Amino acid sequence: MPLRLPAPWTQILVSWGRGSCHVLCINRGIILPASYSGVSIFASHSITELKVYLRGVGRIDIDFKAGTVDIFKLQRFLDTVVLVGDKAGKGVGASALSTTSVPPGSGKTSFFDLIGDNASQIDPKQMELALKSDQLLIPEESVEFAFKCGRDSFVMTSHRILQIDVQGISGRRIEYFTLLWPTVKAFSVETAGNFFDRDAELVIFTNIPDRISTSPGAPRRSRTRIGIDFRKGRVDLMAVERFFSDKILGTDNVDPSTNAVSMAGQVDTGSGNIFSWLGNDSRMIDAKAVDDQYHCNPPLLQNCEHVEMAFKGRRDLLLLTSKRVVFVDMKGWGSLGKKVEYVSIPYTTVTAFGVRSAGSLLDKDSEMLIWTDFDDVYYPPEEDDDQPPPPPIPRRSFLEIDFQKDRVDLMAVHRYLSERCLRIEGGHVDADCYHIPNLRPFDMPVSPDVMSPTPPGALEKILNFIGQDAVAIDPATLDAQFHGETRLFQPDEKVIFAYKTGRDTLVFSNKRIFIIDVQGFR
Amino acid sequence: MCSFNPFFPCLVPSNIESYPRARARHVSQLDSGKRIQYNSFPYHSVRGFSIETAGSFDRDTELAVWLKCYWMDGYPSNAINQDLRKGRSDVVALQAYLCEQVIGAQDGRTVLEPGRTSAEAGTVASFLGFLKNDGVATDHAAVEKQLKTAPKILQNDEKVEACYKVGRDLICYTTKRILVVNVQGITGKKVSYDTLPLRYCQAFKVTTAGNLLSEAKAKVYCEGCPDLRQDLSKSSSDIWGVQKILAYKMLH
Repeated sequence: MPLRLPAPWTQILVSWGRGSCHVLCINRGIILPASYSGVSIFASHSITELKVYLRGVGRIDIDFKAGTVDIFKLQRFLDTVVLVGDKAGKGVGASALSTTSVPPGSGKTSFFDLIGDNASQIDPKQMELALKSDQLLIPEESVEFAFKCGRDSFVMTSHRILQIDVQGISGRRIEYFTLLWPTVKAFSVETAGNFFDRDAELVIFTNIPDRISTSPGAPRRSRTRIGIDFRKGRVDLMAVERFFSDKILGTDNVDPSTNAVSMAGQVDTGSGNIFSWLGNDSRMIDAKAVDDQYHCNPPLLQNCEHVEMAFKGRRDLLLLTSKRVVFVDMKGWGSLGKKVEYVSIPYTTVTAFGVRSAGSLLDKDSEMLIWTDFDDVYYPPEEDDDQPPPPPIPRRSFLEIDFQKDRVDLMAVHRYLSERCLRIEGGHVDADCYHIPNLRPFDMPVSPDVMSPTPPGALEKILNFIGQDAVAIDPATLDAQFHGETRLFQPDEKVIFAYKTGRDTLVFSNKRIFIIDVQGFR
Repeated sequence: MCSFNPFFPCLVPSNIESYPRARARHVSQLDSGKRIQYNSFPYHSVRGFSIETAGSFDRDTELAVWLKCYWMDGYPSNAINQDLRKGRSDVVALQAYLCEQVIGAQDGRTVLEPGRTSAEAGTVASFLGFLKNDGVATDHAAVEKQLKTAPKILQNDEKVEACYKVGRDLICYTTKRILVVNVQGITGKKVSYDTLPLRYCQAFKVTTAGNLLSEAKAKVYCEGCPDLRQDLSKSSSDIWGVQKILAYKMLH
């Protein structure tokens, strides 16, 4: 049966099953570019294989008979339909590229590095020439960062991340894995530890829809985490971090030389009084001090970015900046603990958030909850055959951050996250003609009023109010309550529908679905 | 039959906590040391939703919201399910409000070519197909009129462009979404209305009929939503009609 579709629409015939023909239409990138999440190509001497990762669908493998298909021609075709418009990735600022202080590596790697898979930085221009001569890049594409370890390469271009993975003993089986910039949802860098640990590490968190696996000891989707081990000292890790910041959070538009003075002033006025409510316990730290530190030593943050709230655990730090949530995780033991992991989760990746107050007297923790945009669920390995398999853990798909309950104004955290993660008025129309609401721009500071203290006992009053009426809640009255002492809702937000079901309260506002969930048996 | 296959299986049985929760409701009033969780789900994270009207025997209307999350209540899941009390809550108004927030920003323009309607998609009302309750194209104008008055599910500027009746159920392709009307229960009073916004529909698949046992099938993949599956009567012309409609809806 012929398919009658207009000519520019691209179709790939996936497979012919027994008796029936399975046809999957893959949209042309220009028409629905969201469909292409990542495209990887296997090319080898005897087997030629194409893998396409489609959003909402998963991975599709297509095997070709050797010698019948020019796989590189197919790759070039996919390049032209996929790497267009919004999918092509944003540019980076000059500062992110110029800070590369490490000289290009000679390309000679020691035996240890070959075994341990540690990458070293190489000259992007050299890499670009090599790749362009093989026609692996499109003409307007430029290589911005490149790492090579033994036979494998990791290339960050203006349009994609290209992972070239040489497999097999003879090295004839090569995988070219193209990862589109918009699929990168979060990233983390980890500095090298002491003498025995030579690795610095970069982990990219993507929302590539690989097949779902539920086998123990494996992540649910294997391509969510993509890690690169760097050789210690051969790479400027903070330059890599800032390069990714530029790519994912938007270009850093503040000049580093002038910023040191001007920004210090801004932070002083912006957050000096904001943090007075935190008290002077060691569990909090001054946002200004943190801001100063992470702009110079190490230069983690972008120059245009500010730390607006900061929390300190026993050793770890949580920073809420104007662009992202940063976890600073100190690893290692005692004074040898040089290993630090910096995890960055942009607010665009946060799909939902919540706070949970502390329970009874025994419960000392209150929590902040963050849901993210990538599937990082992990099934732990089975310890014993007799035991039932351990339950899955969410890892970075769902984050719970504990606070000391009497040291943190939980409602202020809630209000701050509301400001950063809910959309504001206005927006733009993307390539698919869809209206995209705006996130609060990073240079629009959050009003100090948002972080001013909540009066004690205000939450109990709200609960008592809700508890009085068993089923129906008048939206107008609830609206007044939510804008009262607790300031649970933003000033321009209003309650549309409210329901009470059992102990839970379900509220629909003009900006979010809001659920108050009362937990515990007491 | 059309059916929903949960894309992310929710592993927890829904009634496991019902007894202690009911008991705790009374106790909780005595003690102020409660753990209270305040969750915010912005509308841009919503990928689809479903409302289910109350049936004859149970008193609850149900709301399900599918989100772009991978973890919910301690399990890999992406759905919020909430029971609403019958008679006390206007689910139709709630449905309309969710529509406005989740798909409202789109204009209601048609994506079908002028003159192309579901009539082309095959008027295969074969007797066998009818007996087997397989997909039969129905009059979309009548359906649109019904869904704009009682109950008012569609938006004012929304148009039904194709409509298939599968047994007691109905699949409507409108200008803005795919609406699945699923009739449940013996008396057929319990009806669920599932909305899959077109903007989150990513791909589709059609399968032609094979031998005696396999029927023609269509499947729509939505990001985060349960996948939509539609079985059709065994007629090759019918499945190509569905294919055409899906192509015009999604490849535009």
